[in-house]
Amino acid sequence: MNAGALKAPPGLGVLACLLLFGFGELSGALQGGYREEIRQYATAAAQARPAVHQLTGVADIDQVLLERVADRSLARLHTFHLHSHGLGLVTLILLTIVANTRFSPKTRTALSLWVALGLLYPFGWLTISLGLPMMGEAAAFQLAERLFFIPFGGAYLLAVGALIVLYAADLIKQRRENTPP
Amino acid sequence: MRQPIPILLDRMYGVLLLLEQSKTAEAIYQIGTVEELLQTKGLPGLAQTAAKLDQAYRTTVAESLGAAIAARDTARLKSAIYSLTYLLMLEKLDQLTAMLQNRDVRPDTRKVVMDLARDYFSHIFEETFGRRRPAQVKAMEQTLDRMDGAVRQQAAPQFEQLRRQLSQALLSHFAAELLPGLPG
Repeated sequence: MNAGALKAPPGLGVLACLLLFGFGELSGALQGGYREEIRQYATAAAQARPAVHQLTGVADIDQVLLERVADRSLARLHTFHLHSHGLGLVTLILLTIVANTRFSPKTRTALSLWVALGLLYPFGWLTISLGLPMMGEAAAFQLAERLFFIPFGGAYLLAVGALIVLYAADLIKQRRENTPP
Repeated sequence: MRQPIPILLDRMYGVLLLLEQSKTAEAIYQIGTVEELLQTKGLPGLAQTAAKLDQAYRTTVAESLGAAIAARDTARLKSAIYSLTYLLMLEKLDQLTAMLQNRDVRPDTRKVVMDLARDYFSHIFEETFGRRRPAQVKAMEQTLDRMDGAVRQQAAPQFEQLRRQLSQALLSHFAAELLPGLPG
């Protein structure tokens, strides 16, 4: 990679990162501006499902159980906000690295797509935040795991692993090429 | 993360603090605001909670509370609040007794109820009597620790034994502060 002639990452990849940033910003703004409304939504949704949240009919116990649901729902939304920003930024860096490698164009495209798939991973936190009041924490987490964490989080992990291996192999190859016989 | 404490407990503690400083008029005013606050949140107020518990445990806390407010009697008001706290604790412990028989109840739900029972003890009895009667409060704290362990292990008989031990200790150590005729 030559720092003097740094290539830009693919436009669609950058757009995908920006979109994730946008979702992160939106969730942050919602948390800031509509915190009470989100809590009320979570509480009302949980209250409508007493069996899911094991509500007892005793006012103070149920109040604590419902507040916990609201707190946890908000906490997951906050995690979504943080991960959206973090992953958007990290992915942008990874896409820039891929764009500036000496890999073949096909390998670069495949790696870029693979890395970009990981951008869907933070939506798992949003799924938990929205699903928790309706189906309980364990079920919401399982759903997020099935839909986002395992496929896209897993894909991201493997993509980063593949990039490390390919990059290291390319570095070794470069060293060998530059070494005088 | 520490679980939130119920509004009722938070405000009862505030009322007791005022009563401890002999600010009876302010305490009574505070009780009025608690009723309003809880009603706007769709929760039962102090008097409604006392009446419900009276019905369940055949006690007369609601009547004592009303009479103490009408007479602006600090000692009776404190006594009614301590008794209400005791009944609220008892209610949580009874819920736990039922939950320990039911395998479908999640451990974290049981923990919420146990922590809540403990919160009533810590905020009202421990806060008020921790310095005046440290030995008794410490002994009850240890009983609560063991009850917590029994809840975690889902050991219903052990929990029942400790629950009786705790209610007897509360009734005997705070006999002067509690209303007569509370169940054990």
